[in-house]
Amino acid sequence: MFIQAIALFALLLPVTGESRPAPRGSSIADTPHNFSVSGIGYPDKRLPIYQSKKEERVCVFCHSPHHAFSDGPLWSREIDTNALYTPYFSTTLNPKHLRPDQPLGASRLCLSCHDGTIAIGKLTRSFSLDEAMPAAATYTAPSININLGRNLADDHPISFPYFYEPGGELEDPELLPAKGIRLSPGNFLECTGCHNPHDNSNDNFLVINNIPEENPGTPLCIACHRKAGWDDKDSVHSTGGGDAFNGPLVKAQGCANCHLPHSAPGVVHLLKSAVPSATCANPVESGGSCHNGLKNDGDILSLTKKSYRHSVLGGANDDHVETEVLPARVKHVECVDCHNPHQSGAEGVPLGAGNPAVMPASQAPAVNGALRGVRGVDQSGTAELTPATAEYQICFKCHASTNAVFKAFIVHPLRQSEQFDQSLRFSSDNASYHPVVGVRKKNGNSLLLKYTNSMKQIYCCDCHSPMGSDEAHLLRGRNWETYPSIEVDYPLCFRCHDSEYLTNPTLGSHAPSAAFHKSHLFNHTGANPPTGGNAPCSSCHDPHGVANNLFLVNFDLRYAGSTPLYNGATCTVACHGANPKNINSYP
Amino acid sequence: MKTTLRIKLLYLTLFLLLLNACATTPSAKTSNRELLWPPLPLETRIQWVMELNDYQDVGIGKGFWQRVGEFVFGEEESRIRKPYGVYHDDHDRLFVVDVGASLIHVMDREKNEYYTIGDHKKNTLRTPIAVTEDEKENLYLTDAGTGVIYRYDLVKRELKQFGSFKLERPTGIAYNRVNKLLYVADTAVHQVVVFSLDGMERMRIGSRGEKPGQFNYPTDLFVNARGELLVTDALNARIQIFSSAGVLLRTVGTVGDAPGFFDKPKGVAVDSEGHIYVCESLFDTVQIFDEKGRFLLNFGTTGSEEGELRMPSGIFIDSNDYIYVADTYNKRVQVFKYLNHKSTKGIKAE
Repeated sequence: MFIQAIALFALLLPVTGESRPAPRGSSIADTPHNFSVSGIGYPDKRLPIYQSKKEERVCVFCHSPHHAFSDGPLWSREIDTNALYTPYFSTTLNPKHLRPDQPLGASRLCLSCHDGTIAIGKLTRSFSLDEAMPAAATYTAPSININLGRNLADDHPISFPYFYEPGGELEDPELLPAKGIRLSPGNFLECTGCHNPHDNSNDNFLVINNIPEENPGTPLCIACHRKAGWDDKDSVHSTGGGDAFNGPLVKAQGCANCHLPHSAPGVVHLLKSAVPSATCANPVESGGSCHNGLKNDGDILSLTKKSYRHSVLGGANDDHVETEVLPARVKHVECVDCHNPHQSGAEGVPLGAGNPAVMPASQAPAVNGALRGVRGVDQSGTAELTPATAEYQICFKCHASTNAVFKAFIVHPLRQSEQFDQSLRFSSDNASYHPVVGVRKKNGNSLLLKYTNSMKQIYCCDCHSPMGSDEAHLLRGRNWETYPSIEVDYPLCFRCHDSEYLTNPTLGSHAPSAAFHKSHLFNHTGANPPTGGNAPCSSCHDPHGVANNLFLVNFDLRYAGSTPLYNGATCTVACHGANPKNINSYP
Repeated sequence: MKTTLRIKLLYLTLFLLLLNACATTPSAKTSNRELLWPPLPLETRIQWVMELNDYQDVGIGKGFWQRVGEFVFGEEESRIRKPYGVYHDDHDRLFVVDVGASLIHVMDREKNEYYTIGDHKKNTLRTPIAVTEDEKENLYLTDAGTGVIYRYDLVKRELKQFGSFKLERPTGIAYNRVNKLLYVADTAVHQVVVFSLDGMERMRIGSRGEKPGQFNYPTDLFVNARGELLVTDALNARIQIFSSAGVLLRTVGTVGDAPGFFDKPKGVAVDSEGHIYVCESLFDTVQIFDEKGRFLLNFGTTGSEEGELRMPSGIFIDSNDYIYVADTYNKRVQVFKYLNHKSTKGIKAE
């Protein structure tokens, strides 16, 4: 029974990593690196702890003593084949080899024990305040190579030159020694950059205390990694945001909110999850609590599971590359395609709201805090922007230019002039367009009164809910788009447009087309589907932009026949036997 | 490439593959340098044979349908990532324990087959370290991360836990044909644990300390032809040799930075004449001692070319004196041969 209890305890150790407190001495004799029999190490369960008088034995496990060349090898006395042995003063230095995937210098000494035999090899997380991400590492194919290289796969890269450029995102190496970080000769980063194997006062032999409860904000990571925007007062992952409940925890964890320096399941960028976007929206079964409704940070996870969504959690191809050429060539979508986790903030969220929780409010088309620091593509559909200043530029990364047709979409209106390149649909040269890219041309009479004078430009997100939606095309409101329709309300369109103005001919001020809109939308055939029904807005109107027609008229050819005509005043369509009907042009 | 395009190309290349299917198997990487130790004009004792990064290097060809499958679905990742233990048995099977990929590569040259034990996506094995085999074609492998020893039936291709115990950190493992016992080094408790094949623990050898017969983080094991057990006593920088009953016979080596001394010894093996081979990982070399512990030779220098090593760990010598060295940070296994006194000619790489 007792043995079983001990065995059970022993079972837990590899899984939970540091379940026993490590001695935190500043002299090596008081740390787990004291392998001599005087070492306290971790309290042994079965064997008694010795005390040895021979203190000099403490160093020999890593620093082998100098030995004069005695007899030499018996099988090759005359010729010395042993030139490989390096001189005493630098027994671990090997400056000749620069390939970053070979451990060099001091790192070799660490790895000679930390290979799973003498010491834990899969350097398991020693602190993971966000409980239990998957315990064992999952690997991706080593053939994928990213900018920083893949040293030791899932661990922070070592044995490579620390590359500094002014204005970049790494600290000047001249300033590092003052912070306690030592680079190896040649400005190589080795294990000894972050670890001091002799001194465990900061736990994990770190040179700077990185424990969130003791020294919040992961100062060890940010000593070298100066991510743009991380120090911004509105960078919520850094500051914790205004949430009194969640904020201090997020602020304390700093980089460790998303990253793990060793055995990171998400090998690329050392993320906490093998599915990159699951680092952001944690599946509840993983034990994480970020952006999944458990804490007060928005339930993004539910959005990603809706019927129509950007499939960040693995539906689409996950090969996002930070430095990809834009517009994107490979179909993929991840959280970081639209959000920069180091810079994103709460200012102006939600997009377009007049009175957001954190001011200032966002004004179309400008990005808000949540979209800060993301790359985009400008309105021509070809030029990269770093960062994007307008929201549509972020969408245009994938939805503009020739790559915009990523898949044959579900059933959708078959437009007379079909165009998937959104930069062309929204172009200000078009005869009519929703003012996402360009400013509104007309006087806004068809808008609700509160918007008539103020809404000159809109966001993509005024109509779309890009993270997930129950409505096709990721729309944020109900929108019927097939004929016949039993709908009598189009909440998506009438969110901004005045349904009374557009469809009530008895009103004092009404659109010249009000009678026609009313007859089409509300009492079209007098019947109900499937025999007859109303015609939805989309049977005549194309919401993005139409190059040649005013009023966004772009007939749905499924209903209007193969060659409908519209000249701004009259329509000739196949829907009606007796045509044309005249309407007056209206502003 | 879109899948539909792939299918179209498949028809085109099927014809070409048909022609290619009868091609000779790829030859192992050979060297045109003379890789002999000691270097000429001294009498050659050790010769380099080949390196293998992938099972195809041992001449196991991909079958026609496997190639078709890979063309359509993508290639399986079979490259060695970070090898530790190696073992070669009498049926010409080479086992390479790949800690980096959490699986065991099995290269069966008799049946011209390659397969793996352990699925790294399902995390069957956490930190596999070493492997050994008994007479009944059962493989025994250690998983240091979970403390479990597995038995893998090579005939039925089944992986099961061996016994119902968990060790602290089992690393080296060796089967003793003389007394039919399985020896496992439990590094974290500084002991060698001995099991019979029914899974019962029979004996423990050693305790923590630096005296003869005591261990300080023992790692690799090897059992020689006489049934004697060699243990790498890693942090005491020595190899200890015990009788099969656990009585200490002698120790070999001490700590130092000169030839014949150890800094971080790992794998240990014995050739047909009783010479002891030890992988010295920090010096990137394999050191050879005689039975009395006198230093004979070392081969291998730092580097990634043929005959060069980077932190070698596991080593195994089969009955034909082929030496398999797990060249860990070069992601490969290198094969050498000890040219014993009876054979004066070298061998060609196949």
